[in-house]
Amino acid sequence: MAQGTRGSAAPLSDLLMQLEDYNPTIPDAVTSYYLNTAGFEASDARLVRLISLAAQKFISDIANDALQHCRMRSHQQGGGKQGSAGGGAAGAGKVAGKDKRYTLTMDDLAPVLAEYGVTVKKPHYYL
Amino acid sequence: MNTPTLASNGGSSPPGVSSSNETAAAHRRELSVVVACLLQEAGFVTVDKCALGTLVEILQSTLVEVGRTARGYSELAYRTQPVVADIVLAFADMGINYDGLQAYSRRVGRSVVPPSSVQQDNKS
Repeated sequence: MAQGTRGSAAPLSDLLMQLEDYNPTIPDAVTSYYLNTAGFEASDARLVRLISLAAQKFISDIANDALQHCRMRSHQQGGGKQGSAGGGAAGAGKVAGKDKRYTLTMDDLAPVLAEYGVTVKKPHYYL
Repeated sequence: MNTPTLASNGGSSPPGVSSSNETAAAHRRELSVVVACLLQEAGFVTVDKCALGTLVEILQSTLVEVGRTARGYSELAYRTQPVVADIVLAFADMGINYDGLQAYSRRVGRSVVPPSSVQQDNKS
């Protein structure tokens, strides 16, 4: 871990220089609002942008993994459909093989979040 | 403008409470737009309401938690203004890997949510 920190120290300073004129997807005002909620108030806007970028990357990584999960699941369902008449299973996947219109559902998201250390449990009374 | 919200609250809560709820809801909506943008970048076309809400909650919790941890580290060092080292320590505490951030910041096809002030300027 110490090696990783030392190795990434120089790129981090480069990144901070770049963040001077960079617009993350999360607006600065929104990130600042949530940081202020926690009592964090930075006069340097680059720090806010660094945090936005890290949080954004976290969500993007989750989304990419969920997409891979979704693709794998749709392939498996496609194979299963050939073996047995599983028309109902293909409909539940919400993914047409040709269209490739992927829908993010909790079925794909929950196992990915478990890998990232987030346990999601839907209460049985929650509709 | 405060009168109907006060009436809906039964008149028991102070006026600041309803406005802060509205502010929180507005920021929450903005976060859901951000999450939707990121999902679209990843390749999703549609998203379940439940999954979107979960990701928005995770994003909000991450932002607040990084801010809280970084503030803790800066106060531990008798500083009121946080520095980069505090944020790096907060990332390390939360297990966020910031090695690929530079490559991520330069990714192609990244989308930016326009700030609300720009929208107001366009209207006028």
